[in-house]
Amino acid sequence: MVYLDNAATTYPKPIPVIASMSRAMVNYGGNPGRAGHKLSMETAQAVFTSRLKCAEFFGAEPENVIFTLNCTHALNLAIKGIISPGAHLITSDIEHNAVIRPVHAAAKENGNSYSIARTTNNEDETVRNFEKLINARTKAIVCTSASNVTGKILPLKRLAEVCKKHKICFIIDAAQGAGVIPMKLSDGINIICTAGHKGLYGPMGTGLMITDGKFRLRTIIEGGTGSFSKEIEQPEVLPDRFESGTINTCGAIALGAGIDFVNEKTIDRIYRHEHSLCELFYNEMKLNNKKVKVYTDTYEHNRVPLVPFNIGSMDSTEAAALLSKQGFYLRGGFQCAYMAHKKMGTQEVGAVRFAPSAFTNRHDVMMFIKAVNRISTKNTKAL
Amino acid sequence: MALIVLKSMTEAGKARYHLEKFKINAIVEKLTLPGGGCGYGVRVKEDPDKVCRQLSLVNIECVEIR
Repeated sequence: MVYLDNAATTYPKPIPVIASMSRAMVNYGGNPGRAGHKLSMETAQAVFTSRLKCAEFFGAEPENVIFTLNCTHALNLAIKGIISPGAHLITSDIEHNAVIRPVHAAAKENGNSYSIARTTNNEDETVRNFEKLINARTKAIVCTSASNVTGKILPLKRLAEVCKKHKICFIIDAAQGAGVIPMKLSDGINIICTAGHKGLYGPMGTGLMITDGKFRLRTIIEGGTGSFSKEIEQPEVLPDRFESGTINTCGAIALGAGIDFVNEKTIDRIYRHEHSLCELFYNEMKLNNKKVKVYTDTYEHNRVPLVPFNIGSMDSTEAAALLSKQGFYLRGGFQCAYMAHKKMGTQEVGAVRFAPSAFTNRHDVMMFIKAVNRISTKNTKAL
Repeated sequence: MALIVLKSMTEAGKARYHLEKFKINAIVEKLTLPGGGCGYGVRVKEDPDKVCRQLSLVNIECVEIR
């Protein structure tokens, strides 16, 4: 089996992540931040250690690291937390549904609205397209760090400057970028939302909302936090304000081990490794297989390592199913990002997404290339 | 030993982490907040005022010293 669906979730997980998860299940069984007994306090310490690792990774204070269930959860907390009646949000035309759906839902209520900025291959133009949509009611720019369909990286530092200039919040969906491209709050990003189970190599069911604390967010979930229990109001103090109910303790602890893995490998080496594998696949298809369509003109460095492609006129889901039968696991369809597919011209068939990880090797990719060549020879006419 | 009341469990963990760097041993404890309700703090052997001054250097506010 060769797993190439790492943009959905990385697999396999590093052995220390598995060991950490298992240790947490065995040794950290108390509910953190609730009781004062030894098991609860030891679990709380283990969670804090992981929180600190996440904080250092993104250049935040530990209390500003909120453990969530996934990136979508984090984005909902940020997007619905930043708006007030009459608010206006700006997003891009390549967003995942994790951004566009909560933005769209928020815009149905209280006179809220949103605008979609057109992204292009020209950074200046992209930044201008965002800035010209800002008005007096704009509360935030919410956009992806990198498209989960095309891999395109948005000019985050420049967009952060625009937000700072207009005193609005800059929220990013870092699901595809975290662990692959460097990003810190010091880049001017106010809120980083990310999955824990993708480029950070943590378990599924983990995510993060990391804030610089400059923008107060209202809550969309309230409940028990183990603190200020006599008060009926949700606490202001972070992370308690956004961590009502018991968190995924074992997942949060194991996420710390995932961050250790990324730190040890380094983001730069992971990026270069995965990028070289994408380049290998891209060049083989572009040069030697005219029946395969890859959706970028060249394989540039301003994208996270993934390659969308289709085999002839075959539906992408069908192509992914044929690949699966041969032991290659990839995702076809729209990857929950129809806007990006519309922009790429694949709104009818979607695309198969080649997404390697730190564990993928050149042999895996060569085998995969052979499988794509076999399928394209047998099943398609030339494009 | 003095008990320094802090704003949250996470803040208590952060306080312990920074105090270790200052070679001050601190134990995180669950306690009741002023006015009631669950809270957390750190128990230290050192002069609590001095500890609070150290904590203020890393933006941790001592709510109360017991």
